[in-house]
Amino acid sequence: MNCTRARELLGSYLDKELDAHSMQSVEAHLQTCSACQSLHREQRALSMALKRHGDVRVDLDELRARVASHLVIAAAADARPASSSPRRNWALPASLAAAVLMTWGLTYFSMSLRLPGLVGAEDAMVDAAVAGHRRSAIATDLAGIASADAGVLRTWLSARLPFSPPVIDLSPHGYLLTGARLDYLYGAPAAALSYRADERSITVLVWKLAEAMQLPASLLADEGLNIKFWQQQGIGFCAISELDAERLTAFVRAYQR
Amino acid sequence: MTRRPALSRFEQVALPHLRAAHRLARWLTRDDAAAQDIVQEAYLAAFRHFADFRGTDAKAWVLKIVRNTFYSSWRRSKHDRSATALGVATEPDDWEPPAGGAQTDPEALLVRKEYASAITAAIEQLPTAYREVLVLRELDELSYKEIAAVLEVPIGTVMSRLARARELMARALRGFDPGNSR
Repeated sequence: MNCTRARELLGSYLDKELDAHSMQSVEAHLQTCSACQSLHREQRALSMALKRHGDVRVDLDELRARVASHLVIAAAADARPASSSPRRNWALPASLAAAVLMTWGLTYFSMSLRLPGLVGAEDAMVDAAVAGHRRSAIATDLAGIASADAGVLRTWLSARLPFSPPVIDLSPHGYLLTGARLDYLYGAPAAALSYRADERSITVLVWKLAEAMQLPASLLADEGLNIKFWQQQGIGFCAISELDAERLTAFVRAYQR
Repeated sequence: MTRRPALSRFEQVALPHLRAAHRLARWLTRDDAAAQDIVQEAYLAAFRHFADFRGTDAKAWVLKIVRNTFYSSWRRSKHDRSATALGVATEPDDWEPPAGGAQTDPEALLVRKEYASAITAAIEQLPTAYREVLVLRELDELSYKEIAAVLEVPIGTVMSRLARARELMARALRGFDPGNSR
């Protein structure tokens, strides 16, 4: 093998993209030709230097959360036409949403949530809501923003959701806002607001209500949590917390005021 | 229901390649914020076209979409830097370093002293077509075949662009001894 041919193959030799025969020919040439050998050494050094210095820094968790939140919203948007199909039964989209939520949650947090589908419609709704609460508790920075300022949170959420969720400052009542997140609930993009009171967190899920959706009226309990659904002007709300029934009811009353 | 792309399945396939996607976007855009926008846009596009994914090489598939997203957003962008700024995206093999050398300013490079910054600067100064092939090979460690799939060019073109990219890098970095500044 002459130098011209060897130099043509040097890159592929470095990248191990040559067949065995050519690999050997280049190798044999390099052992006898110091000029090609030093060229090869230079290329190899460059390759190593690129690997060492060429990588870029990025907060991968933050990027993943950002991408995931937009995917969730895109998936919700894709799902919307389906909810206006003749089968206007909210139980189906609800359990679908619960399933999506669950796999989503599993992907990031290896959470174990109960399987929907085997349970009643109300249970599926509760499961999805509880999953939302757990996500808020585990990763406050997941596709979200930390702030105690209702205006900041409202602006942030309105820019990312197809509706403007009401964010209410309840600090005069002793409930402090800590942040907000994007979520996906019952087939629709949702906001998950986080409040704090007496060392307990309260999650308020807010989403645009599908017409056919009926919310459970009574206060529910699941997994040591109390859950209260309500609606106002076409917006669905669900408050979830470890607070006892009485105090959660008081919170909801303050929120509704 | 089965016709709708399954978000969780998509995430399982595509999210593991987020770092590679960002790396490519970062080197294409040379800008942190723009890179994240491209990645986000690319992932949404990938999700919408998930049905087209044949299930063979997810990394190459994702990177191809990142690259396409970059080029179409670049074309859309109002900062009309015209095709010349893209350098050789159209005719890469004719590209020659500007008068005075690709390293346009070897002294400025030397002033940096730091080999790492010199490397970064040298990559950034490469015309896009050489930059992308170098990043795909050296940083993402894609095979020639995968690179050819991402760039949608023959393997021979991958090889010639890669050789040229390395030659330009070597020229830009001549004078630095990597052994001294590791």
